[in-house]
Amino acid sequence: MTFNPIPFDVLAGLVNWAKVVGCVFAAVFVIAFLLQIASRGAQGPAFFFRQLVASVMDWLTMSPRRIWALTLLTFREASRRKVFTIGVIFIVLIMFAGWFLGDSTERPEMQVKRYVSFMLTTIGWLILPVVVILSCWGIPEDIKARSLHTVVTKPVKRNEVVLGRIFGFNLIGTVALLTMGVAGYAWMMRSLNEETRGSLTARVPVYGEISWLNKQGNEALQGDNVGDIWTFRSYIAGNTKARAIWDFTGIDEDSFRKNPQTGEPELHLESTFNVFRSFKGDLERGILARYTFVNDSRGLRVSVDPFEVQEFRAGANVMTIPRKITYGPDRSLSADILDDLADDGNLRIEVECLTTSQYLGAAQSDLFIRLPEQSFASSFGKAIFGIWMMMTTAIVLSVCLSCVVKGPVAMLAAGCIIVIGKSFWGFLAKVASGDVEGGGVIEGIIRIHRHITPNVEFQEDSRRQLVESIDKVPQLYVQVSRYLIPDLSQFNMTEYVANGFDIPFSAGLLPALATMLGFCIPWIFLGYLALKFRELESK
Amino acid sequence: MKKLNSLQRKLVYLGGIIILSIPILLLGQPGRASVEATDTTQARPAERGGKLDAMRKQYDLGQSDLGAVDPSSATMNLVLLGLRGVATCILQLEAQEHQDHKNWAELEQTTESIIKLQPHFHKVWHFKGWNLAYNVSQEWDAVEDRYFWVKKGIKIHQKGVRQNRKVPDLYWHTGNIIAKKIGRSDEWVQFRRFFMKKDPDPRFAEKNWEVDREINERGKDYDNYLMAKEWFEESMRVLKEDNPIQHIMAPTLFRSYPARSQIDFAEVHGREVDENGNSRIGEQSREAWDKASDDWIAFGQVPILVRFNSGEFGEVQLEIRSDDEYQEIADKYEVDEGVVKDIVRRYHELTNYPYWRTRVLAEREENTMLAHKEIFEGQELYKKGEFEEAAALLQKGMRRFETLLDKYPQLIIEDLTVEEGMVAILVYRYIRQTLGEPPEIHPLKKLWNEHKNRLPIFEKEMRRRMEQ
Repeated sequence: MTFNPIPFDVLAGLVNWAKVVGCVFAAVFVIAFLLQIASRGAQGPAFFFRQLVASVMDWLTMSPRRIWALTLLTFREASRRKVFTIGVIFIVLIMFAGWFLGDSTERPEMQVKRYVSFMLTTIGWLILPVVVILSCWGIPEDIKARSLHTVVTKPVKRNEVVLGRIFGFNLIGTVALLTMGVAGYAWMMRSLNEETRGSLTARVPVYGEISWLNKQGNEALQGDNVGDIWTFRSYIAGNTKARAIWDFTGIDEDSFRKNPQTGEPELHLESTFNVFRSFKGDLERGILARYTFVNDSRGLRVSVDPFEVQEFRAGANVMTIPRKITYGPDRSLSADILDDLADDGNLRIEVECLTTSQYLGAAQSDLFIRLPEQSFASSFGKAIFGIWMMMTTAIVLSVCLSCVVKGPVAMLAAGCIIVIGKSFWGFLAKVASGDVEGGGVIEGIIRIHRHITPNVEFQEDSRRQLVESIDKVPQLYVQVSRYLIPDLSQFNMTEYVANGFDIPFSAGLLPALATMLGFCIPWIFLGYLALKFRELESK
Repeated sequence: MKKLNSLQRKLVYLGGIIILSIPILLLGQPGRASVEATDTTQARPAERGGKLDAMRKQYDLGQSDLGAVDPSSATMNLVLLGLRGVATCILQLEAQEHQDHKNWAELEQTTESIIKLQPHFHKVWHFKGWNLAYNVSQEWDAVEDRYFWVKKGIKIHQKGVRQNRKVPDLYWHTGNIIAKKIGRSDEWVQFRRFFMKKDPDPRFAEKNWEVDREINERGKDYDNYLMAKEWFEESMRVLKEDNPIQHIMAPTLFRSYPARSQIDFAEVHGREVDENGNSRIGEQSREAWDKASDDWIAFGQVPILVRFNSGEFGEVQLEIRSDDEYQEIADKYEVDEGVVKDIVRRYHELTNYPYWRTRVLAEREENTMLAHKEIFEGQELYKKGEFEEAAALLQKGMRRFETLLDKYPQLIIEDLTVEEGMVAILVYRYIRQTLGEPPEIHPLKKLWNEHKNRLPIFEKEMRRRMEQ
């Protein structure tokens, strides 16, 4: 994979979330308070607090029955607007998808990648515009047609209107998404031949923490750089003391799989290492690597047989190691992985490259213990759930924006936020951190004007300091924006499914769930407040 | 219009559309070729289409005139409603990112999409095919995987040819990759085996093809250089019949490629062994050189259009054997003989014609074939430790080599010839030394004396060969 699946830190995320939401709400309340004082004078503070209490009461006394009624109303309205024609577009797309997805003589793992990526990307991009358009136009249309006037005269609170709308659009989106998911899954099963269908799997990996030793055997922050433009992996030199070391935690009986023939427990270690040859060498032989189990507290080092690395071959580099390993000159010694080599559930595996002057490239996700596979359908289902979370976030954002501004403006704003969140969030984070070549806005303009490339340093003088000071202002704006725009790439789990991995809860689903809830909860409150204090006659 | 109601306005618009459509339909009406009568249908005469159709045919502007029409490509371009350029730029960036991140399946898919967006931009076909055959293939470690990507690159070129059948460049590039990437890269031994004997993909064995017939149409045992030659010949045909412009190199050099490929085919016999480890030099290789000499001299006889300093256009050729022939050309165009010689000399330098002429003529002789064979087999015996037999064969081979250099003295400065001769001498000297005989007594003295100052290079080459 092209990233390391790092488990989500819930506590740190919660603290960060509380800080940002606290700041936003504090800003909203202070501005509202000052506005009330400005407009109502001495009565302003009392009015503000009365409304605050009323708002709290709205949430405490809301009725699920009324929300459900509004949900159904929204669902029916959307159905009448022929929202399900999206299905026709989807059918047309998958009818002709075969034209664009290459031939069946392709390697199975490559075919699977293509089909899965196509299907999940298509579903994601089809559902988003539909729900955004629907959600942005719902409340403004109600206001325009005065139907909301009728609703609010009934005992329906505005938070119920907002929630009813959100749930209604979500319901219709969920129906469409489920239909597309099931149809897409069936289409893939039908389009792929039997051999290729065998590559549809959901491996369950257990990842460890990686550390490095350099050529002299000393601890290092990372391995060697072989000049690869992509620095995701770093490399260890062959036949030296350089090692990539993985520390796995929580190893127990469940980490082993039973041999189908003998019933003996085995450890399945899979790797996705890269290879860099400093000279061609023996072209018909692969680069040799070897695993060594290390238990420092007992002074045990047990190496297993070397293996040839098969680069870029998904699922080809699996080594099955029996729980009881025999080793030594005549294989006269034996060690139990769990009892002797693991130290209180912590297992250390060193990886070395055995071919002289050649290099082995590794990243944290390149070595893992394989647990029994999940079904591909469950992994595909989780990816669809990821799209559902993205859709929900988009609906909440759109409905809440439509509580503030008219339909077209809400659509434009929601569209911008979604495009940035989906495609440019990484860039935004990079700009916010100041980690971009060529400096900020003003420095960029000067560089363009003076034809200075980003890799040339500016002269260290007072003018440079001035430019950098001015550039900090827009950078601050970007830093704030980064917290207000959701990173929608969290919801994209295509890479797991396409590469034949199950989607882990802690590194895949949990961050997505946290992103969805983290943004939706404050947005719903802000949307409610905007609708509550909005003058409905103002169209 | 303001007085009209909604329905009336719509009817006016409809009428306008119909009126405007009439000239478009008339101008663009497609024509039809005549149809001959069959048992069940009557003959139909040819029908002349509209003006636009006639012009499209006249200037070969129709999609089908350029090559096979790919429906997916046409659909993609229609759906994009003119945003093809934007889409291409985005896809190019994506493709670069996939390549950087080693996402090969995605890279290939993006490459296909880029090509579909620009099906008649021949540089795109070449660039993308080249990228897969050269840049992506070397990223993979296993030779079988590398070959897979080389084939991908070749297949992209072949598809480009089908969709752009009047572009000689694409035919040439296809041949060039088949010749050079398969025949000359570091993995040439394995690649040639995969191309000619057995493709590593088991699916071809299941089909009883053994080799990938998409790139090796002639099937098992057909040489990659001969296949490349066919592609080069096709590029010549297209250049002659359909499109006189190619954008790769000087026209004369471009025309030399079929003959050069035949030379490569003949030459490969000398550096390759068969399944049993025996040299491939023999009657078959001599015949290949014989054909190469015919091809090279035929290439030398192709007229070259030149412009003399008088401003007059005329024709010269590379194959000129005597001063009388120079004089004849000079008389024909009323220019000085020196001018003709100067022009021909420049073309000789461009194509290295005299060297290759000498080489092919020398190599097609039986004596040369036997010289190579005996030297090679002598060295193989030396590797096995059979010193006396090796020395006898090497001595025989070197004598033949001496005869060759006496007959074609130009070859005494040619690198490959010198290397072969010097390595043979060195091996022979080592054998004599081992056998306790004076090493300095050997044939090819003249060659030795001329090149002994470069001895360390030849000793290194000898060690390399002996370790193989």
